[in-house]
This record gives sequence, C-alpha cells and structure tokens, in this order.
Amino acid sequence: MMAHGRWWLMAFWLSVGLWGCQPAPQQAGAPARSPQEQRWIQAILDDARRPCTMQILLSTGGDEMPKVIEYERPHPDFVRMTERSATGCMIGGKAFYPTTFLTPEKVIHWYPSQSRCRIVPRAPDKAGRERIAQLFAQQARLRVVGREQSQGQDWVIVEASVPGGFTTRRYWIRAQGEPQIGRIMVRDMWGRVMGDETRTQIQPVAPTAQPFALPEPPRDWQIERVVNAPLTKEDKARLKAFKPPQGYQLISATRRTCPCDSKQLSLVALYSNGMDEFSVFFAAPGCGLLPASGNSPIAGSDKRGVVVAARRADGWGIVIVGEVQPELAREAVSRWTGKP
Amino acid sequence: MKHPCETIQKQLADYLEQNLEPTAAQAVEAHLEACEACRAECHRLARVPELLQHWAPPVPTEAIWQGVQVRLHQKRLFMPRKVYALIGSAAAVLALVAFWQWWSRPTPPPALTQMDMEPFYRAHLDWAPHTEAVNLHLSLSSGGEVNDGAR
Repeated sequence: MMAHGRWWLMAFWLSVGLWGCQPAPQQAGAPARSPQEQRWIQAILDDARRPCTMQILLSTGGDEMPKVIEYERPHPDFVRMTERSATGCMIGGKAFYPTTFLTPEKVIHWYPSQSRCRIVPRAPDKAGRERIAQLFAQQARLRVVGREQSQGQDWVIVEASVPGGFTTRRYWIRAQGEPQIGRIMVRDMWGRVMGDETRTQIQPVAPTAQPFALPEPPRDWQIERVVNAPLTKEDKARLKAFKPPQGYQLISATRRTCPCDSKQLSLVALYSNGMDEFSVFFAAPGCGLLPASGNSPIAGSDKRGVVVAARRADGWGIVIVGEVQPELAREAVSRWTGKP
Repeated sequence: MKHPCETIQKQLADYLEQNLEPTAAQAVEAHLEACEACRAECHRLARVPELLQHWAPPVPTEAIWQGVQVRLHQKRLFMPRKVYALIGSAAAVLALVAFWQWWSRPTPPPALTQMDMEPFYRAHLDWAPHTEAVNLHLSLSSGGEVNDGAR
C-alpha cells in the first residue's frame, strides 16, 4: 500500500513538472492596450514613415562585419539607403557604395562595384502596407524588458511579438519627449539575432513632394528586371486552396519571374501577421529548384527565416519562405500537397 | 514554603558576580552573617572564578574524533527508508523533467548549405522588404553584392 502511495506521489510531481514545461496558452483576440502601450505602438508604426535622415550601425548576427548605413527618408514613401561597406571603401569610396532606392512602386538595388542594378516592382502596395500596420496594432503583444541610458537619453526597451509568430523585436523607445525609436533588435524563435540596428544622428526633415531623382544606370551596366503580371483564374483558385497558419493574412499576390531563372512566371503571395512576413511561391512544373514529387518536403533556416518546399504529384510545387515557424509552414505545405 | 538557605544559595552565584539588585544583595548579606552553612558555601563558590582562570579546555584526542565519525555514520545508515524514497522520487522527477525539457527543446531546421533555395530567399526579400534597414540590407546583400564577412 505504501509503495503504491509512493508511485502516485511520483506520478503527481511528474505531471506537475511536465505541465509546467508546456508553453502558455495563446490568448485570443486583440489585447487591451493602456494609453502608454498605444503610444509605443504608434511610435513603432511612425518609425517606418517619419521623414528623417540618420546613420545606422547595422549588425546582422553571425560572423558578418557590422555596416554603417546612411539612411534618408525625405518622404514617407521614399527611402535611399547607402551602405558604407569596407569593400566599397577599399574600392574607391562613395561612388562604389551599394545603395537601395525605395519608391512607392519599386525597389532598386544599385551595385556599383559590379556595374549592375536590379529593379523589382515593390509589393505590397500602399494599401497592403497599411494592412500590415493595422495587423501589428491588433496582434502585437508588448512588454517592457528594461530601461537604458545611452546617447545622453533615457530609453525604455519594449519587446513586441505576435502569438504564433516567428520573431521578437526589441525597440529602444525614447522615454522623454516625443517617443522615437533609437534601436531595433530582431531575434528569431530560437533566440538568434537576425538584425540589430542602432540609429545615431537622427534628424527629422520636412517632407518634400519631390524626394529624389532616381539615378539612370550607365549604359554598360547589367540591368535585371523582375516582371510582374496579373493573376489568372487558375492562380486565384490555387491561392484560395492555400490555408496560412493562424494569425497570418494574405496581403498581396501576383505572378512574377520564377526564382529558378527560367522564363516562366510563378504565383507568389505575401502573408503577414503584422510583424512577421512570409512568401508562398506556387511554381509551375518547369521549376527546377523544387524537390521531386516523391520526396518529402525539404526544410531549412538561416538568419533570414525559414524555407519549406515540396512538390505535388501533378508537378506543381510550393515554397514557403520567410518569417514563419517551421512546423506551421510544414503543416500548411502538407495541407496544400495532401501529403503528410 | 522554601527554606531560606535554599533560596539564598540559589542567589549566591549572582551575588558573587554582583548581578543582584541592591535590596536582594543586602538580604543575602544579612543571611550570610547569621548562617554558617551558607557562608561556607559562599566561600566555596567564590573560588570558582579564580579556578576557571587557570583552566584550559581539553583537546579531544584522535580516538574521540573517530568515535564521533563512526556514530555519525551509524546515524546516517539508520535514516528512515521513507526519507530515502522521497529523495529518490524527487531526484527521479527532476531527472525526468530535465530530460523532457532537453528532448522537447525547439531546434532550428538545418542551415541551407545543402539546399538550393537561395533564389527563393532573394525573391522573398525583394518582394516583401520592410522599411527597416535590416530587411532592406538583407535584400541588398541577397542580390550578390560582395560581403565584407563570410556569409
């Protein structure tokens, strides 16, 4: 009798211990926000829109050297970001710094050291970007994780995450005066640093209607253009059959040049939970990058996120890539392919 | 009712160390003048502090220490079995919880070195850059620009 009692005691403590190991249940619905939290949410959203110039010290984790970036946003929809890399410095200075131009319609990557530029239609459109901001305001959970004094100012460190999401982002928000973001650190679900940007010399600027003239690439440069095309009826049906993980919503979809470099177009859709974004590529049977249909899905990850890919028996393939938990991505792929 | 000598002799130590209240001390002195037995006891006690000044505590021998250790060991051997069972159960539970936590820890999928999915990453970053510098930079770097560090 005593021996039985002992085993019951062990079983009880074991269940208590294991129960404690389970993750906390996710809360449903939008969180109630205090006025302070609302201010922080607004500060984070404004951070991507406020016209300003600043210098950014950027570290992307791993063994890559930090970069200094000159960042100019003369208008909410326009950005010019010049990367002062050691390579550019050594080759010949400013004329060789890689630069990104962001306009409401396109992203232009400028690689002077390679005499090359890449022009990509920007997506999502303005409405899509507003939808992402709306989702962030609805779904992000905030908590204060610390306070700090640096650059002669007091900062409150606020961590944002979305239940079921992939990243947590820490924002250093100025404690006095108008809230302003001084640093952003992004970590993935395993705690690895994906990016850490520290801003200095932040100067607000008056928005201008003519932000900047886009440069004309020299004639001898190689120009790569990504092509966009409207969705077909079949694309819409294919998209409808895809069920994203909970919390994510469809933001934008288009047909564009397939990443496999063949001449075919593939259907690509962008999903977001307000903070994490992933793309789904539905590739036609001609895409040579995808695994054979008999093989099980392949999965991988690096500091940019997760990738899961599989091919159906009819030859169509699916690739999920970006900020999404790998298990949720696998489930979504399995649902679409009908294979476990 | 206690005998007065019994009461007085209990107070003698405090009297000699001058710890008594003045009235109590006067009462003791009055009794000592009248009582020979208590006076003799008082003289015996008065020698104790003097003797203690010349006393050194004995150092325990090796044999005494060994005896103490043997007795301690015996005491440990005779701990109740219930205590052993409880300690054992707690250790087992802790070990299982630690194993469970180790076994169920989230681990990232393998790195992409063996997979040719790089073009999809690049296309995703092209397609969905935030305005945050981190993502714009990753998008720029994915385009094949020479990096300063290993990638």
